[in-house]
Amino acid sequence: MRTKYGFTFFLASVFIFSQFFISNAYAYIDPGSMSVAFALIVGVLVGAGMTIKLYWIKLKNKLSRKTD
Amino acid sequence: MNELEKKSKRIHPFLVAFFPILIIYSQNVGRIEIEELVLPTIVIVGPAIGLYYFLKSILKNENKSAIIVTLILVILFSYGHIYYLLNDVMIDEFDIGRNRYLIPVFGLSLGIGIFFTIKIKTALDNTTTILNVISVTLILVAAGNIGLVLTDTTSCENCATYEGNIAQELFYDRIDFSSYFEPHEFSLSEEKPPDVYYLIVDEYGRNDALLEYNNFDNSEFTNFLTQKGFHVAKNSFSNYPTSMQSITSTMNMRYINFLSDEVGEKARNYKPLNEKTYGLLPNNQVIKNFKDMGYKMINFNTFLTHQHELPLADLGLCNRGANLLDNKLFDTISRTTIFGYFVERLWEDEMRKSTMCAFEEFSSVEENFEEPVFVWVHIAIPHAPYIFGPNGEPITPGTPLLLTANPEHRVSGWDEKQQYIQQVQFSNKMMKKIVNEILSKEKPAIIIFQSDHGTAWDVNWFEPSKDDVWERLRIFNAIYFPDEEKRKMLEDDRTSVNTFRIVFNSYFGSNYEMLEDKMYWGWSKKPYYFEEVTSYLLEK
Repeated sequence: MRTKYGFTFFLASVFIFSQFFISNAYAYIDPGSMSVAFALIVGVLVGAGMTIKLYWIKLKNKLSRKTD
Repeated sequence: MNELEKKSKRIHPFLVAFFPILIIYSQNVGRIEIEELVLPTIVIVGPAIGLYYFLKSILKNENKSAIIVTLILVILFSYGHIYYLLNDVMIDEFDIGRNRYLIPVFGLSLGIGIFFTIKIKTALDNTTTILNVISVTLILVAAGNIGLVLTDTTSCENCATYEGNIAQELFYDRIDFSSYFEPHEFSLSEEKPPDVYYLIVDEYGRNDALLEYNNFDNSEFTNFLTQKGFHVAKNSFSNYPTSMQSITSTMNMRYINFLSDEVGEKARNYKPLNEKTYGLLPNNQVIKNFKDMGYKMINFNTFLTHQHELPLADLGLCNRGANLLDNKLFDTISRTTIFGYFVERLWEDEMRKSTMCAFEEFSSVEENFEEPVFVWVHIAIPHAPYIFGPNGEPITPGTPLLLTANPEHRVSGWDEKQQYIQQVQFSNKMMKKIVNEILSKEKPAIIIFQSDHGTAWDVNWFEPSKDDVWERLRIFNAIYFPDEEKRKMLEDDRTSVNTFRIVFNSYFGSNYEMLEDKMYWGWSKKPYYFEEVTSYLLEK
């Protein structure tokens, strides 16, 4: 449950902070390069978390097999 | 295989293909209509799916095929953004943000990535899971952005009647503004009603502003106009700082601040201004008045302010075939790809053609009609992109449209202010030609050369100083009336909102009241937010 709230909070923070990267484009369409960079950084961080989680599960499985 | 891996489907290439569409849309909600998402989605996600199945049939490996597609998409769509972000980055006087360095790095990365993906012996299930998580996160960030923008745009603190509505902001259900426009009687006393020519030169500053900010003396040109009988206003201002606000106001002969109450001061949806069938700009009061008096209306497709979409026009000139870049979202996405350089050049070429065509045809179009004509064109120059030299020769801009400076040209002496002046000089040359041609005809003519706003070198849009406002709102404004007596009605300190009130009162028997001159500030992401800055200019 706590993880669920944590994740929601994390995503909400991400969205709010990403607003700071909306730049002014005057008469033209804004390419949003800063937002793209921000989204990629968040994506990579989440991906790194997922990698750790996957390998942690593998490690746990190996350890539990050894104890068996 | 653990549970997370078992669940993995290869969704990442398709989400990564959709991400550039969604993130750019999220930055431009309102300015890009939601319907415009369809075309880029088909054009980008469609081929991504096709490529995936093509690779799958060759490699016989779903994970590897999906990873290669994602890799190609990342390289393709991140290039422009990285190029823009590295634009001013120097390491020991070594400019790393140049195409000549970035293209090999990106090409090599793609080659190495594809090579190892093909050669690797593992099943790549973990990699697929991780890429799925990353791609879902990217989409969530972009979708979250859209949600926050919509929440913000539908709030309004100072609106009298507006109640926020996300569906209205996204899809916009037409609001009737007709009560804001009073009907007027006209009388054509002249035997030959004059043809009326209205040419807007985008971002053309007033003489004193050109001298102050660009060190350019424009008096030779304005003296030419004065000698020809024009009244060149020495103290003219636009009432708004952006093209869409300013021209909509001029062409409707009234301030457009009522839109704050009707649409919401934070709304971004441009449809009330530019929608083809009911927007205030294409369906403006000035054209309606001329049409009521039996005039024929002629316009030119110069890519600006929906000039190609004027339902009231009797003749549209300089049109070109539709292409994919007409979709603003697709156009912007394509400029941020590795092919952005070529997209810019293609678009500039189209702009050169349409601008030249408009200048060439402007003075002779009345020959198409027996009736009097109202000829209206909005020329893109001297505003950026800087694509013309002083004699109209083609110039390749040193500034990509989505950027403010480009290292490729900065080192080779590219100077934006100088390029701007060259476009002023070219505009002058073409306006002189137009004046000579129109005045050599037998038919009487009213000619209006006017800017929509001034320059904005280093202007702070969000917290403008008095100097910023002073620079941006000073406009070039020259009017020719065929009758010397009527030229006396033209004053030095007129603002653009009264332009056609003066014209209609002088020549068409109307009795419009002159509106009090007021100036407002705002910016393109909030077209209905208006902050009065009249006092800034009066103090100056």
